[in-house]
Amino acid sequence: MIRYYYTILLLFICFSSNSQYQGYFGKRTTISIDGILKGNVFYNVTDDISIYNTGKQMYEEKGSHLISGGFNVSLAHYFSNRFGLALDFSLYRNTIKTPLTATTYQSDLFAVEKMKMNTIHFIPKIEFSSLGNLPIGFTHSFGIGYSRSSIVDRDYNKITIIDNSGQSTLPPGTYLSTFRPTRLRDLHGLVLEYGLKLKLPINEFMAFNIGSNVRLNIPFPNRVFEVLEGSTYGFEDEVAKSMTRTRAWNIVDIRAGLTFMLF
Amino acid sequence: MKKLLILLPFLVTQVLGQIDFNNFITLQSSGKIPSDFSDLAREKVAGDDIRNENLSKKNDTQFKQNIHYSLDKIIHSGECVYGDPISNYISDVAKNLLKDDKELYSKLRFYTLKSNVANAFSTHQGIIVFTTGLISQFANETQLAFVLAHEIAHYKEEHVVQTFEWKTQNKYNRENLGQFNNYSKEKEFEADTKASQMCLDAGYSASEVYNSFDVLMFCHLPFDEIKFPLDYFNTPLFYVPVKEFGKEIFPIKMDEAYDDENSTHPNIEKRKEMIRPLLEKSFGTGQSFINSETEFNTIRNYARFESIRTNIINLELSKALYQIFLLEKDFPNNFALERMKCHAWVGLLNAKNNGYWSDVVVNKRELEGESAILYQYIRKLDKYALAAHTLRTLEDASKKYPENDELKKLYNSSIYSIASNSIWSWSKYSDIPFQEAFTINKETKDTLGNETVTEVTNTDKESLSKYDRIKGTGTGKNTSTNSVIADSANYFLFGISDLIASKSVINTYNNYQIEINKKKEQENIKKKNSEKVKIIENKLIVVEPTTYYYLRNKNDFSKSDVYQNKLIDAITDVAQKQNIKIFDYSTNTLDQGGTALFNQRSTIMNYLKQYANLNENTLFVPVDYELIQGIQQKCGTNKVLFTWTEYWAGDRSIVGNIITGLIVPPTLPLMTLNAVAKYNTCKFVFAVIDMDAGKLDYSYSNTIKSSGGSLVLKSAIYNLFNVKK
Repeated sequence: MIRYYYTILLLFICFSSNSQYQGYFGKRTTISIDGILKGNVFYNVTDDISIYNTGKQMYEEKGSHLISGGFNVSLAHYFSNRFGLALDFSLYRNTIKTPLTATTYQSDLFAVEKMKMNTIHFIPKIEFSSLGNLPIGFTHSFGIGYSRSSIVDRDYNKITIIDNSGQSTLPPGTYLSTFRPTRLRDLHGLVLEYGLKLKLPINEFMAFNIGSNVRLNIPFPNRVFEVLEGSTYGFEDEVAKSMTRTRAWNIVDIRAGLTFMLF
Repeated sequence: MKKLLILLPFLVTQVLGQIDFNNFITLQSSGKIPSDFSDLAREKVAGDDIRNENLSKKNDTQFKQNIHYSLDKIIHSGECVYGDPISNYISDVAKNLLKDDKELYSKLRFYTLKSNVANAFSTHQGIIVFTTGLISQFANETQLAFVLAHEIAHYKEEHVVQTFEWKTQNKYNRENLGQFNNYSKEKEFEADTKASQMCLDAGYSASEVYNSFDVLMFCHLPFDEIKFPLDYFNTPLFYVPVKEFGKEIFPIKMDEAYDDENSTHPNIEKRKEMIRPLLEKSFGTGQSFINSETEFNTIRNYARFESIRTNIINLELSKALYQIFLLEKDFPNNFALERMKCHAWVGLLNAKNNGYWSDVVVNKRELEGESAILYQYIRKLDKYALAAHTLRTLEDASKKYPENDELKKLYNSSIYSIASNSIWSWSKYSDIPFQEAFTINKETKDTLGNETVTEVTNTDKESLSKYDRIKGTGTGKNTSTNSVIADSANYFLFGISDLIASKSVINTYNNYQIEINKKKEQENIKKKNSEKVKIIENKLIVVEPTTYYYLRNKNDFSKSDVYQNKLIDAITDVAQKQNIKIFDYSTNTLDQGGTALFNQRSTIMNYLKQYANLNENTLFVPVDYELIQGIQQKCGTNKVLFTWTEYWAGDRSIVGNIITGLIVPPTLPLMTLNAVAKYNTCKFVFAVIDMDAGKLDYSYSNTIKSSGGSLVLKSAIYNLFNVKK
């Protein structure tokens, strides 16, 4: 009988609720710092280059650019227990394949060591939760932002395999010189990202995050054209293609970190 | 202090065994709190080391959980009392019945449940509970003794565990429901037979034992059947024509041989047939009363007063009014009846103005017996007639008791209720009383109506019981005395002429209208933060949180208990950090707080129950007004927190989650986490009620996915304590 009356009171309150959203212990703005692991899920599906220069020798290697790492910082503000806005900044580093290249027709065939590519994402996002417990609990996020990838500017080791006389160099894989890319352009584009995250509270001020994101990288149109239909057969163009390919294939990541409740 | 002084005479006379019905307050527990009430259910389960040999170990554990937790829900409902006059009287009757079995008597405990359902039950633990609804229906001590003996027989023969055993062995379901009902009926016959013998051995009247089934037959009717006088409402200032009551008769249905196929109990006819051979040899012997008849009548009247109070809480307001009429002949000019009458009328007016009228009037299908004439009359009242009745009743009561706070609040509540009605016109009412209008009418020979009023005198003999009257062994006479010609068209419009003339009601109404309109405007305007004030300042009364932990859609009692304690700890912890003093009225504190705390807790629970039935456009005045004032004084706050949570823990399919994660790779980490972490649906409802204003201060409800961990609960409580309005 008592449950009957409490049920009535419960229904009455649900319909007349005048809740004021206050967040987690009164805090609605958070900052999250996550470590990221990204995977190239299409590794070796379409690629045909299997020989790499590690910087010390020629080496048939798989998987060195399968995984990349980075970090993400996200500043979020929640307007209700189901909806909020966030600003994500990510930085991660990939290792990209560099092709065997001939400088000109009947010229040297050389390989440059694997290059490092830094990518930054800057994505405003909407965060929402179907069973509202924000800022903790399960969160979906969706955003469209800006992406930029650039090769780390430093000297890379170069191995010439066949010299311009057509003779192979001594001995194969010998390190001969360094190479500094000068004509490599940054790749710009759009990135669409969807994320699913779980924030588990640790105390009044912190929560542990674990989550996963999936993204679609869309280079800006003129850059795609240039890469695919480049009139000049050059090392830089091949690198740009490799950069674009790597960006496109690194579509999923997992991330874990901490969220701090600010105010 | 003033309120304590008001209560003191009543409490003192209770202790001394006499009851002051003029200042009736609801039944209160007294004496040392029994372990049935102070021990937590999980402690009772853990301490119950009696092994039921016919049950498997698993079923035995389940049985113990069932009996202890389900009983706990009843005894902590706010309606159960111990050490009260009724429980003590039942104990005395049991002593009579078991004078040759003192060992059995020593195992039993007797409590009273404030409910208008006419019922009594016994539990496996030896607890026997009678409802006040049943006590109010008895005609004599023998009938009570028979029902008590019946329950004792159930306990002695261990029918509760046997029934459980049957259900587990026979996989109790819809298909074998008929078999179960037959099994249950056998147990009832057995209990009836043993009870009859027990009563005969104790010296009770055999014929009254046989007549006990009349109580069961007619307990759905009010506790007496007296013809309602058609001039009941008439006063020098208020007049209701006879024709307003209608002429339809509503006979009482008397079928003892009703179809009992789908019932666990045999019908009355079968039960009577079963015990008749045993009793008829002794018809004409025995006594209706072995203990004092005066004491029985006092106890029964206590139950009857309680029954009126319960009807007011449950919004059975027409029934409350008829019961008040019944008691008024034995308790004329009784203040308690007067104030409860005001509560009933105000309740009816609130229902009319707030759109739940059909919930408070008696359904036409249920009209039966003498009370039907009143119920039918009330059903037909429109809002103006209802207002006239209410204000007349309140005004007359206020004149008798001008200093009474409760009546003043009821008065304000009635006018507030009228003010919240968007369509109202005071101009309909007359500022001259009907007698004057009648005189003017006579002089002007205006045709207002041609109605004859018949004054009815009820000459039923006092010695007849309700059941005698129903079965026609009594007589009643209608006597016509004076005839008065009066207007019957809009009789009620003259009923509050004094109030209309003085404009007191209209002025109060205008003030409330302004307040209500202002409130509506404020709800449409966005408030600025700087104007906000915290809902909870520095003190808070916390009532038992209601928590349900569902495991695979089934309520898990022991986990509900654990979850409830987690919630109480969260409230206490956060309150301490926020410098808020908590008055904890949960069952955890009963051991230390004792009977006084238990009574206060019950009062608050009943307050919430009555509050739950009302609309927000009501100035709520509780029927236990004085007791609530006492609690507010003691705690120094009028804010009470009511909490309801449900936690739904489901089965977790680890394999299913992993497979989902593999199919949709980005979700794999989360699916893995979901597979192992306890992350389930959690529902919260918090409500802070201002008991003084009778209004909901703040409410919050949400459904979240949570582990149900302490931090989530504490966050919700923290936010609650920092809400501003």
